[in-house]
Amino acid sequence: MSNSFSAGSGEFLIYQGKGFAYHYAGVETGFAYSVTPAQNSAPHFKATQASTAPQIKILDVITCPIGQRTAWVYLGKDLKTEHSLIIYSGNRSFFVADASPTALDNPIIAISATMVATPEKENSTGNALIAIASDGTAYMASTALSF
Amino acid sequence: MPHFAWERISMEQPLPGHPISIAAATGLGDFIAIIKNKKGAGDEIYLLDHANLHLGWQKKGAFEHAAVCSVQYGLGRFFIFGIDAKNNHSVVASSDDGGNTWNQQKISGSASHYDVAAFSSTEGLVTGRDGAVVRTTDGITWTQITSPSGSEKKVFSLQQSPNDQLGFVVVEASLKKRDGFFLVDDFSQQEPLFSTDGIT
Repeated sequence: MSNSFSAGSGEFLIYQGKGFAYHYAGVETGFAYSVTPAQNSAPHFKATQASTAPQIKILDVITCPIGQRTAWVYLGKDLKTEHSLIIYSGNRSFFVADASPTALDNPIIAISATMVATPEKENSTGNALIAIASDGTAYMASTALSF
Repeated sequence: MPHFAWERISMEQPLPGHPISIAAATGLGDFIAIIKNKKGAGDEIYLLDHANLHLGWQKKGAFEHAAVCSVQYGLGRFFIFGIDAKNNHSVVASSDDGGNTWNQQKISGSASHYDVAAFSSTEGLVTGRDGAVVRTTDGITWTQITSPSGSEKKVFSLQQSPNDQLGFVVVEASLKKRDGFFLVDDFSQQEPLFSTDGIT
């Protein structure tokens, strides 16, 4: 079981089921953390790993099925260049991938995952990410065939 | 590392301006955007339907008699929170059909700028900038409850665990100093999780 919880322009905790693994992404610090509760002492938590994603402001996070896995996808902004970034997260790693289409005049302000028809196979569907820029322009990226 | 090939979606109807708030339907892909009405009438509601992206943004009415604070998604519904300044109360409009039709109602208590939300599969919490918190379990009725942080602190972020044992997770901050993270069980007690200052 995996769920994500976004809360406006705040910080984010991502719940990952029985293991009580959490990811935390801080807006002000620009860091993302993996957080797990101390043994037999929930709900007290301790940080176990810091990310390698400084200088990034996290704006939103969603969960997105990618192939057979569920990835956490963060919407971020590079504080130096002001470019929007899409950040993908594995179990305990964070990485920034594929700045396109984010090197635009208008930043990405919302993301979501959806099911779409896959052009490669008839009568089949796959997962896709949809990104919305601040002027309402929409972008789509198919994820099923590229991870 | 995954590679995502992004492509711009060609739309028949672009969004007529920059939205003041936008929300995505988790797991569905629809978006609701709110455009400020410059003529002083109700802020306009636009829907981007994931199944008809090529059609673009479709106007779905206006948020009457109130100014929009935020648009949220949870419990299978879109919600628009706003303030009726004339009558000094908050209002919420909800849609259970993907944003096509909306029902608006008053929220009890004084007006608050509700803009930070958290939803589990069974309930939703939304907090205002003054610390007010409203709760729903059916997506229809919103009830104001006591803020766990007290009126002297701003609720910075509000999140909810799907695990009933963990209750609510509230990130709070005073206006000048970050206070870290707190776990709140039924808003009756607060347990500090960790301080952001202690993680580097």
